[in-house]
Amino acid sequence: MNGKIEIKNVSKTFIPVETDKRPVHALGLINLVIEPGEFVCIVGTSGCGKSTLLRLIAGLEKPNGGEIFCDGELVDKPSPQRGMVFQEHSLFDWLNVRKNIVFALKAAKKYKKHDTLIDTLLQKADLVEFANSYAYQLSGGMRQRAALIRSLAVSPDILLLDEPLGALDSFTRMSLQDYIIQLWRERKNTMLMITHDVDEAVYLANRIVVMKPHAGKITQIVDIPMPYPRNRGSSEFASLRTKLLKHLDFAKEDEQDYNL
Amino acid sequence: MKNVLNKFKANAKKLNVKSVINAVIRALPIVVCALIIAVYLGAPNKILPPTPFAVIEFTNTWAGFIGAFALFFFVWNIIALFFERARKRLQKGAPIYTVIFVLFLLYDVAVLKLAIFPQPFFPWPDAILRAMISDSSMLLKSLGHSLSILLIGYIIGGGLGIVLGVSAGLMARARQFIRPFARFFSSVPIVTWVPIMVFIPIGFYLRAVFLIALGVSVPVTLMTMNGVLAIPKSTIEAARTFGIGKAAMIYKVAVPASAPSIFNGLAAGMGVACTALIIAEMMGVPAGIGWYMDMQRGFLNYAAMYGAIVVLSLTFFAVNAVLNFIKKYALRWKAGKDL
Repeated sequence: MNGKIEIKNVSKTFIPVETDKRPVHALGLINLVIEPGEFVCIVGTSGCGKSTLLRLIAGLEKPNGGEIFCDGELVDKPSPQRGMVFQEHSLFDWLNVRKNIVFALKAAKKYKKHDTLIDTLLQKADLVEFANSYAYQLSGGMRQRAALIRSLAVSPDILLLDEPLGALDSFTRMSLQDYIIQLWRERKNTMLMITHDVDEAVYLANRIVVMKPHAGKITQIVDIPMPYPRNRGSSEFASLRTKLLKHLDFAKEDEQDYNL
Repeated sequence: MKNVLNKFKANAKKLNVKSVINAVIRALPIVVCALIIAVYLGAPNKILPPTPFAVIEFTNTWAGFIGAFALFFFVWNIIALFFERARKRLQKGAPIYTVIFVLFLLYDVAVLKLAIFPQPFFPWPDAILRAMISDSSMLLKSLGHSLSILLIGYIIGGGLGIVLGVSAGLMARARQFIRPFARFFSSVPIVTWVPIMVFIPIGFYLRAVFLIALGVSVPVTLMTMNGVLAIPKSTIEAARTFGIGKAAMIYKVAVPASAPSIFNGLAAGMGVACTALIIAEMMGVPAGIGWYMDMQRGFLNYAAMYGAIVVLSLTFFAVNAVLNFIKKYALRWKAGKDL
Protein backbone atom coordinates (compact mmCIF):
# COMPACT_ATOMS: atom_id res chain seq x y z
CA MET A 1 0.00 0.00 0.00
CA ASN A 2 1.32 3.40 -1.00
CA GLY A 3 1.24 6.71 0.80
CA LYS A 4 4.10 6.63 3.27
CA ILE A 5 5.73 9.96 4.15
CA GLU A 6 9.14 10.14 5.83
CA ILE A 7 10.46 13.49 6.95
CA LYS A 8 14.11 13.40 7.98
CA ASN A 9 15.89 16.32 9.70
CA VAL A 10 14.09 18.85 7.52
CA SER A 11 14.73 22.54 8.04
CA LYS A 12 13.63 25.57 6.06
CA THR A 13 14.76 29.17 6.15
CA PHE A 14 13.30 31.83 3.90
CA ILE A 15 15.93 34.28 2.72
CA PRO A 16 14.20 37.46 1.48
CA VAL A 17 15.28 39.01 -1.80
CA GLU A 18 15.56 42.42 -0.13
CA THR A 19 18.88 42.41 1.71
CA ASP A 20 17.67 44.67 4.52
CA LYS A 21 15.18 42.09 5.74
CA ARG A 22 16.11 39.29 8.09
CA PRO A 23 15.84 35.66 7.04
CA VAL A 24 12.86 33.82 8.50
CA HIS A 25 13.50 30.47 10.17
CA ALA A 26 10.29 28.66 9.34
CA LEU A 27 11.23 25.11 10.28
CA GLY A 28 14.01 23.65 12.38
CA LEU A 29 14.86 19.96 12.24
CA ILE A 30 11.59 18.15 11.72
CA ASN A 31 11.41 14.35 11.95
CA LEU A 32 8.14 12.59 11.28
CA VAL A 33 6.95 9.36 9.72
CA ILE A 34 3.39 9.00 8.48
CA GLU A 35 2.21 5.50 7.61
CA PRO A 36 0.09 4.72 4.54
CA GLY A 37 -3.61 5.28 5.13
CA GLU A 38 -3.13 7.39 8.25
CA PHE A 39 -5.11 10.57 8.88
CA VAL A 40 -2.76 13.06 10.52
CA CYS A 41 -3.64 16.60 11.53
CA ILE A 42 -1.07 19.26 12.24
CA VAL A 43 -2.24 21.92 14.67
CA GLY A 44 -0.46 25.04 15.82
CA THR A 45 -0.88 28.77 16.08
CA SER A 46 -0.10 31.05 13.16
CA GLY A 47 3.53 31.21 12.20
CA CYS A 48 4.53 27.82 13.55
CA GLY A 49 5.61 26.59 10.14
CA LYS A 50 2.83 24.07 9.62
CA SER A 51 1.96 25.41 6.20
CA THR A 52 5.62 25.41 5.21
CA LEU A 53 5.91 21.76 6.21
CA LEU A 54 2.94 20.86 4.03
CA ARG A 55 4.32 22.81 1.08
CA LEU A 56 7.65 21.03 1.45
CA ILE A 57 5.90 17.66 1.33
CA ALA A 58 3.93 18.81 -1.73
CA GLY A 59 7.22 19.73 -3.40
CA LEU A 60 6.19 23.37 -3.83
CA GLU A 61 9.20 24.44 -1.76
CA LYS A 62 12.58 22.83 -1.26
CA PRO A 63 14.06 22.28 2.22
CA ASN A 64 17.40 23.88 3.14
CA GLY A 65 18.41 20.77 5.03
CA GLY A 66 17.18 17.22 5.34
CA GLU A 67 15.05 15.15 3.02
CA ILE A 68 11.48 14.10 2.49
CA PHE A 69 10.60 10.73 1.04
CA CYS A 70 7.24 9.60 -0.20
CA ASP A 71 7.11 5.83 -0.66
CA GLY A 72 10.90 5.78 -0.65
CA GLU A 73 11.22 8.41 -3.38
CA LEU A 74 12.87 11.75 -2.71
CA VAL A 75 10.48 14.68 -3.05
CA ASP A 76 11.97 17.40 -5.27
CA LYS A 77 8.98 18.63 -7.25
CA PRO A 78 5.18 18.51 -7.14
CA SER A 79 3.55 15.32 -8.30
CA PRO A 80 -0.04 14.24 -8.93
CA GLN A 81 0.61 11.47 -6.40
CA ARG A 82 0.47 14.18 -3.74
CA GLY A 83 -2.77 16.09 -4.17
CA MET A 84 -3.30 19.34 -2.39
CA VAL A 85 -6.36 21.37 -1.41
CA PHE A 86 -5.98 24.98 -0.34
CA GLN A 87 -8.04 27.25 1.86
CA GLU A 88 -9.18 29.50 -1.00
CA HIS A 89 -8.77 30.13 -4.72
CA SER A 90 -8.13 26.46 -5.33
CA LEU A 91 -10.51 26.17 -8.25
CA PHE A 92 -9.67 27.65 -11.63
CA ASP A 93 -12.19 30.48 -11.89
CA TRP A 94 -12.25 30.46 -15.68
CA LEU A 95 -13.26 26.80 -15.94
CA ASN A 96 -16.52 25.25 -14.84
CA VAL A 97 -16.52 22.44 -12.29
CA ARG A 98 -16.36 19.66 -14.86
CA LYS A 99 -13.56 21.31 -16.80
CA ASN A 100 -11.64 21.87 -13.58
CA ILE A 101 -11.59 18.10 -13.11
CA VAL A 102 -10.70 17.57 -16.78
CA PHE A 103 -7.79 20.01 -16.32
CA ALA A 104 -6.45 17.95 -13.40
CA LEU A 105 -6.79 14.68 -15.29
CA LYS A 106 -5.13 16.06 -18.41
CA ALA A 107 -2.25 17.60 -16.43
CA ALA A 108 -1.69 14.26 -14.70
CA LYS A 109 -2.02 12.46 -18.07
CA LYS A 110 -4.92 10.38 -16.83
CA TYR A 111 -7.66 11.83 -19.00
CA LYS A 112 -9.81 9.42 -20.95
CA LYS A 113 -12.71 10.45 -23.12
CA HIS A 114 -16.13 9.02 -22.26
CA ASP A 115 -14.91 8.23 -18.77
CA THR A 116 -17.63 7.94 -16.15
CA LEU A 117 -15.16 8.91 -13.41
CA ILE A 118 -16.05 12.59 -13.52
CA ASP A 119 -19.77 11.90 -13.28
CA THR A 120 -19.24 9.53 -10.37
CA LEU A 121 -17.19 12.14 -8.54
CA LEU A 122 -19.72 14.89 -9.23
CA GLN A 123 -22.45 12.64 -7.90
CA LYS A 124 -20.45 11.89 -4.77
CA ALA A 125 -19.89 15.60 -4.13
CA ASP A 126 -23.57 16.37 -4.82
CA LEU A 127 -22.49 18.73 -7.60
CA VAL A 128 -24.17 17.14 -10.63
CA GLU A 129 -26.41 20.17 -11.18
CA PHE A 130 -23.42 22.47 -10.86
CA ALA A 131 -21.12 20.65 -13.29
CA ASN A 132 -21.30 23.57 -15.71
CA SER A 133 -21.15 26.32 -13.07
CA TYR A 134 -18.20 28.62 -12.53
CA ALA A 135 -16.59 29.17 -9.13
CA TYR A 136 -18.35 32.49 -8.56
CA GLN A 137 -21.70 30.74 -8.88
CA LEU A 138 -20.90 28.25 -6.08
CA SER A 139 -21.08 28.60 -2.31
CA GLY A 140 -17.90 28.29 -0.26
CA GLY A 141 -18.74 24.73 0.75
CA MET A 142 -19.48 23.67 -2.81
CA ARG A 143 -16.21 25.17 -3.98
CA GLN A 144 -14.23 23.16 -1.45
CA ARG A 145 -16.14 19.98 -2.31
CA ALA A 146 -15.31 20.60 -5.95
CA ALA A 147 -11.65 21.19 -5.10
CA LEU A 148 -11.60 17.95 -3.08
CA ILE A 149 -13.02 15.78 -5.85
CA ARG A 150 -10.76 17.47 -8.37
CA SER A 151 -7.72 16.47 -6.31
CA LEU A 152 -9.05 12.97 -5.81
CA ALA A 153 -9.82 12.53 -9.52
CA VAL A 154 -6.18 11.71 -10.22
CA SER A 155 -6.32 9.17 -7.32
CA PRO A 156 -3.36 10.43 -5.28
CA ASP A 157 -1.84 8.24 -2.59
CA ILE A 158 -1.44 11.26 -0.36
CA LEU A 159 -3.86 14.16 0.03
CA LEU A 160 -2.49 17.31 1.62
CA LEU A 161 -5.09 19.68 3.01
CA ASP A 162 -3.99 23.22 3.87
CA GLU A 163 -6.76 24.51 6.15
CA PRO A 164 -9.36 23.56 3.55
CA LEU A 165 -12.29 24.42 5.80
CA GLY A 166 -10.80 27.54 7.38
CA ALA A 167 -12.93 30.00 5.40
CA LEU A 168 -16.26 28.25 5.89
CA ASP A 169 -19.04 28.80 8.42
CA SER A 170 -19.21 26.26 11.23
CA PHE A 171 -22.18 24.24 9.92
CA THR A 172 -20.71 23.87 6.47
CA ARG A 173 -17.43 22.99 8.10
CA MET A 174 -18.98 20.17 10.11
CA SER A 175 -20.71 18.69 7.09
CA LEU A 176 -17.47 18.83 5.10
CA GLN A 177 -15.59 17.16 7.93
CA ASP A 178 -17.97 14.23 7.58
CA TYR A 179 -17.52 14.32 3.83
CA ILE A 180 -13.73 14.19 4.16
CA ILE A 181 -13.96 11.24 6.61
CA GLN A 182 -16.25 9.46 4.16
CA LEU A 183 -13.86 9.98 1.24
CA TRP A 184 -10.90 8.84 3.30
CA ARG A 185 -12.59 5.67 4.54
CA GLU A 186 -13.57 4.73 1.00
CA ARG A 187 -10.18 5.38 -0.54
CA LYS A 188 -7.91 4.61 2.40
CA ASN A 189 -5.29 7.07 1.18
CA THR A 190 -2.98 9.02 3.46
CA MET A 191 -4.43 12.32 4.68
CA LEU A 192 -2.33 15.11 6.08
CA MET A 193 -4.33 18.13 7.12
CA ILE A 194 -3.41 21.44 8.60
CA THR A 195 -5.91 23.15 10.84
CA HIS A 196 -6.03 25.56 13.70
CA ASP A 197 -9.30 24.17 14.89
CA VAL A 198 -8.61 21.69 17.71
CA ASP A 199 -12.11 20.22 17.52
CA GLU A 200 -11.67 19.52 13.86
CA ALA A 201 -8.36 17.77 14.49
CA VAL A 202 -9.82 15.57 17.25
CA TYR A 203 -12.84 14.77 15.11
CA LEU A 204 -10.83 13.71 12.07
CA ALA A 205 -7.35 12.47 12.87
CA ASN A 206 -5.69 9.23 13.95
CA ARG A 207 -2.80 11.28 15.15
CA ILE A 208 -2.33 14.94 15.89
CA VAL A 209 1.00 16.69 15.53
CA VAL A 210 1.34 19.81 17.66
CA MET A 211 3.72 22.54 16.53
CA LYS A 212 4.76 25.63 18.41
CA PRO A 213 5.63 28.99 16.91
CA HIS A 214 9.05 30.57 16.40
CA ALA A 215 11.03 27.35 16.80
CA GLY A 216 9.22 25.65 13.93
CA LYS A 217 9.39 22.36 15.78
CA ILE A 218 7.09 19.51 16.63
CA THR A 219 6.44 19.65 20.35
CA GLN A 220 3.97 16.82 20.79
CA ILE A 221 2.30 13.98 18.94
CA VAL A 222 -1.06 12.87 20.33
CA ASP A 223 -2.76 9.62 19.32
CA ILE A 224 -6.54 9.70 18.93
CA PRO A 225 -7.69 6.13 19.47
CA MET A 226 -11.44 6.80 19.14
CA PRO A 227 -13.35 4.82 16.48
CA TYR A 228 -15.20 6.55 13.63
CA PRO A 229 -17.76 8.06 13.47
CA ARG A 230 -16.84 10.13 16.47
CA ASN A 231 -19.14 11.81 18.93
CA ARG A 232 -18.30 15.47 19.39
CA GLY A 233 -20.05 15.48 22.78
CA SER A 234 -18.42 12.42 24.38
CA SER A 235 -16.26 12.79 27.49
CA GLU A 236 -13.34 11.14 25.69
CA PHE A 237 -13.57 13.80 22.97
CA ALA A 238 -13.63 16.54 25.60
CA SER A 239 -10.63 15.23 27.47
CA LEU A 240 -8.54 14.85 24.31
CA ARG A 241 -9.52 18.35 23.34
CA THR A 242 -8.42 19.70 26.73
CA LYS A 243 -5.16 17.78 26.47
CA LEU A 244 -4.42 19.39 23.10
CA LEU A 245 -5.32 22.85 24.26
CA LYS A 246 -2.90 22.36 27.14
CA HIS A 247 -0.14 21.51 24.72
CA LEU A 248 -0.95 24.71 22.86
CA ASP A 249 -0.94 26.78 26.10
CA PHE A 250 -4.64 27.60 25.83
CA ALA A 251 -5.86 25.77 28.97
CA LYS A 252 -4.80 28.00 31.82
CA GLU A 253 -8.10 27.97 33.73
CA ASP A 254 -6.59 25.71 36.41
CA GLU A 255 -3.62 27.93 37.06
CA GLN A 256 -3.52 30.07 40.21
CA ASP A 257 -2.72 33.42 38.62
CA TYR A 258 -5.11 33.03 35.66
CA ASN A 259 -7.68 35.75 35.27
CA LEU A 260 -9.54 37.15 32.36
CA MET B 1 -71.15 40.09 -22.50
CA LYS B 2 -69.90 40.16 -18.95
CA ASN B 3 -66.77 38.37 -20.10
CA VAL B 4 -66.02 41.02 -22.66
CA LEU B 5 -66.57 43.74 -20.09
CA ASN B 6 -64.15 42.10 -17.65
CA LYS B 7 -61.56 41.77 -20.35
CA PHE B 8 -61.96 45.40 -21.21
CA LYS B 9 -61.52 46.36 -17.55
CA ALA B 10 -58.40 44.23 -17.25
CA ASN B 11 -56.94 45.89 -20.33
CA ALA B 12 -57.83 49.32 -18.99
CA LYS B 13 -56.00 48.49 -15.77
CA LYS B 14 -52.92 47.50 -17.75
CA LEU B 15 -53.07 50.83 -19.52
CA ASN B 16 -51.84 52.74 -16.54
CA VAL B 17 -49.88 55.97 -16.62
CA LYS B 18 -46.50 54.24 -16.62
CA SER B 19 -47.17 52.14 -19.72
CA VAL B 20 -48.53 55.17 -21.55
CA ILE B 21 -45.34 57.10 -20.82
CA ASN B 22 -43.28 54.11 -21.99
CA ALA B 23 -45.21 53.98 -25.26
CA VAL B 24 -44.68 57.69 -25.82
CA ILE B 25 -40.93 57.30 -25.22
CA ARG B 26 -40.83 54.46 -27.75
CA ALA B 27 -42.51 56.68 -30.32
CA LEU B 28 -40.29 59.72 -29.68
CA PRO B 29 -37.69 58.98 -32.40
CA ILE B 30 -40.47 59.01 -35.05
CA VAL B 31 -41.75 62.32 -33.72
CA VAL B 32 -38.32 63.93 -33.81
CA CYS B 33 -37.61 62.55 -37.30
CA ALA B 34 -40.88 64.03 -38.54
CA LEU B 35 -39.95 67.32 -36.95
CA ILE B 36 -36.55 67.30 -38.68
CA ILE B 37 -38.17 66.76 -42.08
CA ALA B 38 -40.84 69.39 -41.47
CA VAL B 39 -38.32 72.00 -40.33
CA TYR B 40 -35.82 71.19 -43.10
CA LEU B 41 -38.39 71.41 -45.88
CA GLY B 42 -40.79 73.93 -44.36
CA ALA B 43 -38.88 76.65 -42.51
CA PRO B 44 -37.23 79.34 -44.63
CA ASN B 45 -33.44 79.21 -44.99
CA LYS B 46 -31.47 82.30 -44.08
CA ILE B 47 -29.43 83.39 -47.04
CA LEU B 48 -25.92 82.12 -46.75
CA PRO B 49 -22.89 84.14 -47.78
CA PRO B 50 -21.81 83.01 -51.23
CA THR B 51 -18.50 81.16 -51.41
CA PRO B 52 -16.58 80.08 -54.47
CA PHE B 53 -15.81 76.68 -52.91
CA ALA B 54 -19.17 75.31 -51.98
CA VAL B 55 -22.22 75.27 -54.14
CA ILE B 56 -25.17 76.19 -52.01
CA GLU B 57 -27.72 73.62 -52.83
CA PHE B 58 -30.52 72.00 -50.92
CA THR B 59 -31.73 68.61 -52.00
CA ASN B 60 -34.18 66.10 -50.64
CA THR B 61 -31.37 63.65 -49.74
CA TRP B 62 -31.41 64.66 -46.10
CA ALA B 63 -35.19 64.50 -45.86
CA GLY B 64 -35.15 61.06 -47.49
CA PHE B 65 -32.44 59.82 -45.15
CA ILE B 66 -34.31 60.94 -42.04
CA GLY B 67 -37.55 59.69 -43.56
CA ALA B 68 -36.00 56.22 -43.89
CA PHE B 69 -35.17 56.34 -40.19
CA ALA B 70 -38.71 57.46 -39.37
CA LEU B 71 -40.07 54.50 -41.32
CA PHE B 72 -37.62 52.15 -39.60
CA PHE B 73 -38.69 53.30 -36.14
CA PHE B 74 -42.33 53.16 -37.12
CA VAL B 75 -41.99 49.50 -38.15
CA TRP B 76 -40.04 48.77 -34.97
CA ASN B 77 -42.80 50.36 -32.90
CA ILE B 78 -45.40 48.20 -34.61
CA ILE B 79 -43.35 45.04 -33.99
CA ALA B 80 -42.82 46.15 -30.39
CA LEU B 81 -46.56 46.06 -29.81
CA PHE B 82 -46.55 42.30 -30.35
CA PHE B 83 -43.11 41.07 -29.25
CA GLU B 84 -41.73 41.68 -25.81
CA ARG B 85 -38.05 41.39 -26.77
CA ALA B 86 -38.39 43.99 -29.53
CA ARG B 87 -40.26 46.21 -27.10
CA LYS B 88 -37.57 45.95 -24.43
CA ARG B 89 -34.80 46.75 -26.90
CA LEU B 90 -36.70 49.71 -28.30
CA GLN B 91 -37.51 50.96 -24.81
CA LYS B 92 -33.81 50.86 -23.96
CA GLY B 93 -32.67 52.44 -27.23
CA ALA B 94 -35.37 55.04 -27.84
CA PRO B 95 -33.98 57.74 -25.50
CA ILE B 96 -30.53 57.46 -27.10
CA TYR B 97 -31.87 57.66 -30.66
CA THR B 98 -34.12 60.54 -29.66
CA VAL B 99 -31.18 62.53 -28.34
CA ILE B 100 -29.19 61.84 -31.52
CA PHE B 101 -32.06 63.07 -33.73
CA VAL B 102 -32.59 66.12 -31.52
CA LEU B 103 -28.91 66.98 -32.01
CA PHE B 104 -29.37 66.60 -35.80
CA LEU B 105 -32.33 68.93 -35.60
CA LEU B 106 -30.49 71.54 -33.55
CA TYR B 107 -27.50 71.49 -35.90
CA ASP B 108 -29.71 71.77 -38.93
CA VAL B 109 -31.58 74.73 -37.44
CA ALA B 110 -28.40 76.45 -36.27
CA VAL B 111 -26.71 76.21 -39.67
CA LEU B 112 -29.54 76.62 -42.15
CA LYS B 113 -32.37 78.39 -40.39
CA LEU B 114 -30.45 80.74 -38.09
CA ALA B 115 -27.08 80.82 -39.90
CA ILE B 116 -25.19 81.34 -36.66
CA PHE B 117 -22.06 79.49 -37.80
CA PRO B 118 -19.58 81.02 -40.25
CA GLN B 119 -19.59 79.47 -43.71
CA PRO B 120 -18.13 77.46 -45.37
CA PHE B 121 -16.71 75.81 -42.24
CA PHE B 122 -19.98 74.33 -41.02
CA PRO B 123 -21.70 72.44 -43.84
CA TRP B 124 -25.29 71.42 -43.19
CA PRO B 125 -26.29 67.74 -42.84
CA ASP B 126 -27.70 67.56 -46.36
CA ALA B 127 -24.38 68.67 -47.85
CA ILE B 128 -22.37 66.24 -45.68
CA LEU B 129 -24.62 63.36 -46.62
CA ARG B 130 -24.40 64.20 -50.32
CA ALA B 131 -20.61 64.42 -50.12
CA MET B 132 -20.46 61.00 -48.46
CA ILE B 133 -22.72 59.43 -51.06
CA SER B 134 -21.01 60.94 -54.09
CA ASP B 135 -17.54 59.98 -52.89
CA SER B 136 -18.52 56.71 -51.23
CA SER B 137 -16.17 54.46 -53.21
CA MET B 138 -13.16 56.59 -52.24
CA LEU B 139 -14.36 56.72 -48.64
CA LEU B 140 -14.71 52.94 -48.49
CA LYS B 141 -11.30 52.41 -50.06
CA SER B 142 -9.73 54.79 -47.54
CA LEU B 143 -11.58 53.11 -44.72
CA GLY B 144 -10.29 49.70 -45.79
CA HIS B 145 -6.73 51.01 -45.88
CA SER B 146 -7.07 52.55 -42.43
CA LEU B 147 -8.63 49.43 -40.94
CA SER B 148 -5.88 47.21 -42.32
CA ILE B 149 -3.21 49.41 -40.69
CA LEU B 150 -5.16 49.58 -37.45
CA LEU B 151 -5.81 45.85 -37.17
CA ILE B 152 -2.31 44.71 -38.19
CA GLY B 153 -0.69 47.16 -35.79
CA TYR B 154 -3.15 46.30 -33.07
CA ILE B 155 -2.65 42.54 -33.38
CA ILE B 156 1.15 42.85 -33.44
CA GLY B 157 1.18 45.27 -30.49
CA GLY B 158 -1.39 43.32 -28.50
CA GLY B 159 0.37 40.00 -29.07
CA LEU B 160 3.73 41.47 -28.15
CA GLY B 161 2.22 43.08 -25.05
CA ILE B 162 0.70 39.81 -23.87
CA VAL B 163 3.99 37.92 -24.39
CA LEU B 164 6.04 40.60 -22.59
CA GLY B 165 3.46 41.01 -19.84
CA VAL B 166 3.19 37.29 -19.10
CA SER B 167 6.99 36.97 -19.09
CA ALA B 168 7.33 39.93 -16.74
CA GLY B 169 4.56 38.57 -14.54
CA LEU B 170 5.96 35.07 -14.21
CA MET B 171 9.71 35.71 -14.10
CA ALA B 172 11.22 38.20 -11.68
CA ARG B 173 14.30 38.56 -13.86
CA ALA B 174 12.34 39.37 -16.99
CA ARG B 175 10.32 41.83 -14.93
CA GLN B 176 13.51 43.72 -14.04
CA PHE B 177 14.13 44.30 -17.73
CA ILE B 178 10.62 44.91 -18.96
CA ARG B 179 8.84 46.92 -16.27
CA PRO B 180 11.02 50.06 -16.24
CA PHE B 181 10.77 50.44 -20.02
CA ALA B 182 7.05 49.79 -20.08
CA ARG B 183 6.58 52.44 -17.41
CA PHE B 184 8.76 54.90 -19.31
CA PHE B 185 6.88 54.43 -22.58
CA SER B 186 3.53 54.56 -20.83
CA SER B 187 4.30 58.01 -19.46
CA VAL B 188 5.33 59.41 -22.86
CA PRO B 189 2.38 60.19 -25.18
CA ILE B 190 2.64 58.39 -28.50
CA VAL B 191 2.59 61.70 -30.41
CA THR B 192 6.02 62.52 -28.99
CA TRP B 193 7.71 59.96 -31.23
CA VAL B 194 6.13 61.06 -34.48
CA PRO B 195 8.89 63.49 -35.61
CA ILE B 196 11.49 60.72 -35.24
CA MET B 197 9.22 58.16 -36.85
CA VAL B 198 9.06 60.23 -40.02
CA PHE B 199 12.76 59.52 -40.68
CA ILE B 200 12.73 55.76 -40.22
CA PRO B 201 13.17 54.36 -43.72
CA ILE B 202 10.61 51.57 -43.70
CA GLY B 203 7.91 53.19 -45.79
CA PHE B 204 4.69 54.95 -44.86
CA TYR B 205 2.66 51.85 -44.30
CA LEU B 206 5.06 50.01 -41.98
CA ARG B 207 5.79 53.23 -40.13
CA ALA B 208 2.12 53.60 -39.23
CA VAL B 209 1.87 49.94 -38.28
CA PHE B 210 4.96 50.32 -36.10
CA LEU B 211 3.61 53.40 -34.36
CA ILE B 212 0.32 51.68 -33.57
CA ALA B 213 2.03 48.48 -32.40
CA LEU B 214 4.28 50.49 -30.11
CA GLY B 215 1.35 52.37 -28.66
CA VAL B 216 -0.75 49.25 -28.08
CA SER B 217 2.00 47.07 -26.64
CA VAL B 218 2.74 49.38 -23.69
CA PRO B 219 -0.60 49.34 -21.83
CA VAL B 220 -1.13 45.68 -22.72
CA THR B 221 2.30 44.78 -21.28
CA LEU B 222 1.70 46.66 -18.05
CA MET B 223 -1.83 45.45 -17.45
CA THR B 224 -1.02 41.85 -18.37
CA MET B 225 1.94 41.91 -15.98
CA ASN B 226 -0.26 43.27 -13.19
CA GLY B 227 -2.87 40.65 -13.94
CA VAL B 228 -0.37 37.79 -13.80
CA LEU B 229 1.12 39.15 -10.58
CA ALA B 230 -2.35 39.29 -9.05
CA ILE B 231 -3.16 35.62 -9.71
CA PRO B 232 -3.70 34.01 -6.28
CA LYS B 233 -0.69 31.94 -5.28
CA SER B 234 -2.87 28.93 -4.54
CA THR B 235 -4.29 28.95 -8.08
CA ILE B 236 -0.81 28.56 -9.55
CA GLU B 237 0.25 26.06 -6.90
CA ALA B 238 -2.89 24.00 -7.40
CA ALA B 239 -1.94 23.72 -11.07
CA ARG B 240 1.62 22.76 -10.11
CA THR B 241 0.45 19.95 -7.83
CA PHE B 242 -1.23 18.32 -10.80
CA GLY B 243 2.19 18.12 -12.43
CA ILE B 244 1.49 20.69 -15.14
CA GLY B 245 4.37 21.63 -17.47
CA LYS B 246 5.88 25.09 -17.87
CA ALA B 247 4.35 25.81 -21.27
CA ALA B 248 0.91 24.64 -20.20
CA MET B 249 1.25 26.79 -17.08
CA ILE B 250 1.51 29.84 -19.35
CA TYR B 251 -1.32 29.23 -21.78
CA LYS B 252 -3.64 27.18 -19.58
CA VAL B 253 -3.26 29.08 -16.31
CA ALA B 254 -1.42 32.42 -16.50
CA VAL B 255 -3.18 33.77 -19.59
CA PRO B 256 -6.77 32.77 -18.73
CA ALA B 257 -6.40 33.74 -15.07
CA SER B 258 -5.15 37.20 -16.00
CA ALA B 259 -7.60 37.63 -18.89
CA PRO B 260 -9.67 40.35 -17.14
CA SER B 261 -6.55 42.46 -16.81
CA ILE B 262 -5.38 41.65 -20.34
CA PHE B 263 -8.71 42.87 -21.71
CA ASN B 264 -8.39 46.11 -19.74
CA GLY B 265 -4.99 46.57 -21.35
CA LEU B 266 -6.42 45.78 -24.79
CA ALA B 267 -9.19 48.35 -24.30
CA ALA B 268 -6.68 51.01 -23.28
CA GLY B 269 -4.52 49.94 -26.22
CA MET B 270 -7.41 50.40 -28.64
CA GLY B 271 -7.66 54.03 -27.57
CA VAL B 272 -3.97 54.57 -28.20
CA ALA B 273 -4.17 52.71 -31.52
CA CYS B 274 -6.97 54.94 -32.82
CA THR B 275 -5.02 58.05 -31.83
CA ALA B 276 -1.84 56.72 -33.43
CA LEU B 277 -3.70 55.88 -36.65
CA ILE B 278 -5.00 59.42 -37.07
CA ILE B 279 -1.61 60.93 -36.34
CA ALA B 280 0.13 58.60 -38.76
CA GLU B 281 -2.35 59.30 -41.54
CA MET B 282 -2.33 63.03 -41.06
CA MET B 283 1.46 63.10 -40.97
CA GLY B 284 2.54 61.11 -43.94
CA VAL B 285 0.66 57.99 -44.91
CA PRO B 286 -0.68 58.82 -48.41
CA ALA B 287 -3.87 56.81 -48.02
CA GLY B 288 -6.53 56.03 -45.49
CA ILE B 289 -9.39 57.91 -44.01
CA GLY B 290 -7.23 60.29 -41.97
CA TRP B 291 -5.37 61.22 -45.13
CA TYR B 292 -8.68 61.64 -46.98
CA MET B 293 -9.88 63.95 -44.20
CA ASP B 294 -6.74 66.04 -44.33
CA MET B 295 -6.77 66.20 -48.13
CA GLN B 296 -10.38 67.39 -48.27
CA ARG B 297 -9.55 70.04 -45.69
CA GLY B 298 -6.76 71.16 -47.99
CA PHE B 299 -9.23 71.47 -50.87
CA LEU B 300 -11.56 73.42 -48.59
CA ASN B 301 -14.09 70.70 -49.30
CA TYR B 302 -15.56 70.84 -45.82
CA ALA B 303 -18.60 68.69 -46.44
CA ALA B 304 -16.39 65.77 -47.50
CA MET B 305 -14.12 66.39 -44.52
CA TYR B 306 -17.10 66.20 -42.18
CA GLY B 307 -18.19 63.02 -43.93
CA ALA B 308 -14.79 61.48 -43.24
CA ILE B 309 -15.08 62.49 -39.59
CA VAL B 310 -18.47 60.81 -39.36
CA VAL B 311 -17.14 57.59 -40.93
CA LEU B 312 -14.03 57.64 -38.76
CA SER B 313 -15.86 58.17 -35.48
CA LEU B 314 -18.38 55.45 -36.29
CA THR B 315 -15.52 53.11 -37.20
CA PHE B 316 -13.71 53.73 -33.93
CA PHE B 317 -16.95 53.19 -32.06
CA ALA B 318 -17.48 49.93 -33.94
CA VAL B 319 -14.00 48.47 -33.28
CA ASN B 320 -14.37 49.23 -29.57
CA ALA B 321 -17.82 47.64 -29.54
CA VAL B 322 -16.43 44.51 -31.20
CA LEU B 323 -13.63 44.33 -28.64
CA ASN B 324 -16.15 44.72 -25.82
CA PHE B 325 -18.26 41.95 -27.30
CA ILE B 326 -15.27 39.59 -27.40
CA LYS B 327 -14.37 40.57 -23.84
CA LYS B 328 -17.84 39.84 -22.56
CA TYR B 329 -17.78 36.40 -24.13
CA ALA B 330 -14.25 35.56 -22.98
CA LEU B 331 -14.93 36.66 -19.41
CA ARG B 332 -18.29 34.97 -19.00
CA TRP B 333 -16.83 33.07 -16.04
CA LYS B 334 -16.44 36.26 -14.10
CA ALA B 335 -19.09 37.85 -11.92
CA GLY B 336 -19.42 41.58 -11.85
CA LYS B 337 -21.07 44.61 -13.28
CA ASP B 338 -17.90 46.15 -14.66
CA LEU B 339 -18.04 43.97 -17.77
